[in-house]
Amino acid sequence: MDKDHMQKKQQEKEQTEQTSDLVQKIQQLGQTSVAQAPDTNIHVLSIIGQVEGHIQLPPQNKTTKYEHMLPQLIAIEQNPKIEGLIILLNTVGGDVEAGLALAEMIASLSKPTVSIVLGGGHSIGVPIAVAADYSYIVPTATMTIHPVRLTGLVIGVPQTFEYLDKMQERVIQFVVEHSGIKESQFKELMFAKGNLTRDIGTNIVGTEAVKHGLIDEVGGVKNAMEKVNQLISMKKSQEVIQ
Amino acid sequence: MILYTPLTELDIFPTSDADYTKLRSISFKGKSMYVENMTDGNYKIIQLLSTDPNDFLNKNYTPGTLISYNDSEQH
Repeated sequence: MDKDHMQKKQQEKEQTEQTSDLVQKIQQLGQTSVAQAPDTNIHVLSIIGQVEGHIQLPPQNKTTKYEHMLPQLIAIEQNPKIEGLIILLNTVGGDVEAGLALAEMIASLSKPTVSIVLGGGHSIGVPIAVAADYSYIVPTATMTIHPVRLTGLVIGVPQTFEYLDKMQERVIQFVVEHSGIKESQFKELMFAKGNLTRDIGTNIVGTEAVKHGLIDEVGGVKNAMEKVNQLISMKKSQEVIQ
Repeated sequence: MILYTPLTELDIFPTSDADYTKLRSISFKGKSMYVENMTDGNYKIIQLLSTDPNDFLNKNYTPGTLISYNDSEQH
């Protein structure tokens, strides 16, 4: 009798646990089961919201924190199971130094990297997008190219101006070195008047970015996956020859 | 109440310091994640910081999941 009672209780307990788990899942995801997949050799790095620099942004902002990204990139470089990296970009830009740090890290990875610009890859998102071995942009995505600027209190205006000028030169150099765009053309886009209302710069959409040579090709996930797999097999065959 | 102003919302209603400290990044079971302190000792996952796409399919790490994490026990 007693044993029966215990068993029944146990069953009831399990059932309530199951339902609460189910309810939690529905609350979180709006669905009950999530697909499972086997191990992957391609990792995904998403650069979203604002690229956060030295100052922490208010919690309402979606941010990409470079102090999180840099160790991840090191882990990708070190892990022999990871053969390729896809970078998803939907960023409004942000801190120049943090963005350049990310771009340099991506550019110096030994593993094949492919970036996709989705929605927007503005401002400092541009060097990050071109840092990959091959870059894609979806037809509806846009990229804003504009000069480096600063908000807040400035102490020592001439010095700060020179500093910003050099910073801008670093951004330009990086983009020119890692994409097909010419320096003069990139500068022209950067300092264009009349494209952005009462601001200097240009907003280029999908195919235009490819036309200017900034991005390699128009395409989405399918193209990017194909490309990264192609680059991986190319790298492998080169290793065999060596 | 409607405020007609060119200022941003944050200029009028600045974020309190408590909002900053509520969010933190932790390493839980070897995965780093961004969590919110729920005051009852639990943490709610806000964002998973991983590059492995499979981690995002793991139901234990989906945003919104409550986890019990203790500072003293290092993961």
